[in-house]
Amino acid sequence: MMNIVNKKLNKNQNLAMVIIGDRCVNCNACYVACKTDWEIPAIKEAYRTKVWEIESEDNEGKPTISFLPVLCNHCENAPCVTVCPTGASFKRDEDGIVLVNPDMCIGCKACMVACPYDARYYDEEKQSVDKCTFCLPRLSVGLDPACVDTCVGESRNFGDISDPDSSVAKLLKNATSISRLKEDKGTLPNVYYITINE
Amino acid sequence: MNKVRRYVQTKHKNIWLVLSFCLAAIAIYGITQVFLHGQEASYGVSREVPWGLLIISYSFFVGITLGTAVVGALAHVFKIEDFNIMSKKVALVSLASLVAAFFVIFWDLASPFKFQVLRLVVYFTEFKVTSPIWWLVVLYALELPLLAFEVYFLLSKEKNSALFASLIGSSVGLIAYGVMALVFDSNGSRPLWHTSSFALFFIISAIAGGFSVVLVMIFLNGNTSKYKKPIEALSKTLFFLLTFMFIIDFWNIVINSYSPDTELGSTMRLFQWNGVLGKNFYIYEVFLGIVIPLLLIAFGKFKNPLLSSFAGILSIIGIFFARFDAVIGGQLMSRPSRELDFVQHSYIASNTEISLLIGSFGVAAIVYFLGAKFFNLEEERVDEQA
Repeated sequence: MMNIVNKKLNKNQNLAMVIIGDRCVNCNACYVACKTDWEIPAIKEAYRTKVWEIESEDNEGKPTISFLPVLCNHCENAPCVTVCPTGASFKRDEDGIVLVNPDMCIGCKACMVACPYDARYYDEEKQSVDKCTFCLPRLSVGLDPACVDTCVGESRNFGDISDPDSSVAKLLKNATSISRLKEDKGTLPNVYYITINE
Repeated sequence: MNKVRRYVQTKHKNIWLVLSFCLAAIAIYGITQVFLHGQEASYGVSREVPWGLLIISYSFFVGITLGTAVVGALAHVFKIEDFNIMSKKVALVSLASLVAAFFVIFWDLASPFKFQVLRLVVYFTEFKVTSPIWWLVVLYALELPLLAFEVYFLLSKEKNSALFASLIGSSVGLIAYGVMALVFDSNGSRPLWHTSSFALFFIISAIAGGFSVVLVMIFLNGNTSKYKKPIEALSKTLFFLLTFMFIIDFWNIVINSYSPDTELGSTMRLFQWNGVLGKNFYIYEVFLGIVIPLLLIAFGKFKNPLLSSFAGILSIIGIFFARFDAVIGGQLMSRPSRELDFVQHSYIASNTEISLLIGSFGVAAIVYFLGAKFFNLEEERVDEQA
């Protein structure tokens, strides 16, 4: 297991995931890549990212299906960090990534209950809560997160949104709509869902 | 009943202690399951419902600690003589309940296998003031020695010190239980918990639990004719507290059902008669735990020790169900995004969790009966006024 807690990236970044909603085809490559890269337990409820199916009707009443990739939102106001009694859950100043230090986690699961996005699970083997790290060990060697690398439709995009020249900042600038999940909770998520004109 | 009680008290003084050990031994099943299969495989909790029976039991036991400590404090601090009854035994119950709470929460945390002492050192050097659980641990770590001191001072008949320990202990207990409610109440992701009445109900029902326990203790202790005035005072206070709980429950259901908030609205569907928590709520929490005790106390005109103590037993059961409904109800409905439909999760307590709960009652009983035996409290049946 790599020690991800002390890996440093460039300072003053605002790392974010920008997801182009209608490009996701629910191939679940992201789910598989994440699980294999990080040795997530092979049980259904253990995952760092997954894709939800949303069934609905269009304006003409025809059934439609769309897909919603979800992961930890690495919130600016992360309730999981606020409630953690030991400091095991923390947000890095330098890039805003929210992490769990398994050595400090006492397994009270307050963070799991506090997360409005159901982004965390309990890893029995680690005896700690686990969650998406934006693939910090990959980032520190210059790679994108595994789910971004493997995304066949380029639905998932990752980078520093505070850098105007980054691909994610440009995507946000050119998006026709931008939303984040449960914005009313005041968590200020760092995962953006956009649509673009193509 | 009296014959049986007298027989047990005279011929088989240790039978309660033996029964307590038997009760505690049931937890061995749960502990074995945890060691063999791990917590996640042994408990009924899941990713969506991470808090289950053990957290519920913890909140129940610390509630009994608070309730009994309040009865003691009313007697010592405010000099309400009618509550100054069996004060040593009440303080011992308070302490025993807290030990049971620690036992049950120990098995809920992930780290019964980790090095707890080192963790404790790290814990108190990291001041996480925004975390209700951090405060909870600090306050209950204070509460345990305070209760132990209170018992000690009561036994050594140091009245002023006992008064001081009782005042500080019950104050810390009251704040600690408020923080216990805050663990849930502060959670903006769970609309059922995130209401101002949640903490109020938690605290009021905990105090009601304390009064119920004392009423039951008086009955089991025998010589109820000696305690006519205390029984009346305790019954009237319990009646008032149960009425207050009923009012909070009633208006919570009414107001929350009108909530335009779809998350809260969906959660309230759980509490409809045909909802998964409907029968729990209406039958056990409200009817059995509040309505029947109110009727029993009223029927006995606040003076009948049998009816009042039976009301106490029922209200204790009702309060346990109230904790279950509140803790589980807050977690059963969720959706990660507005675009998704609500998903109703399920929670069924596992045999492992149930055995640990039964065992924790045994642990409380062991602490109580060992304490009573060690300090010779069972002999003090003539005049037990502190």
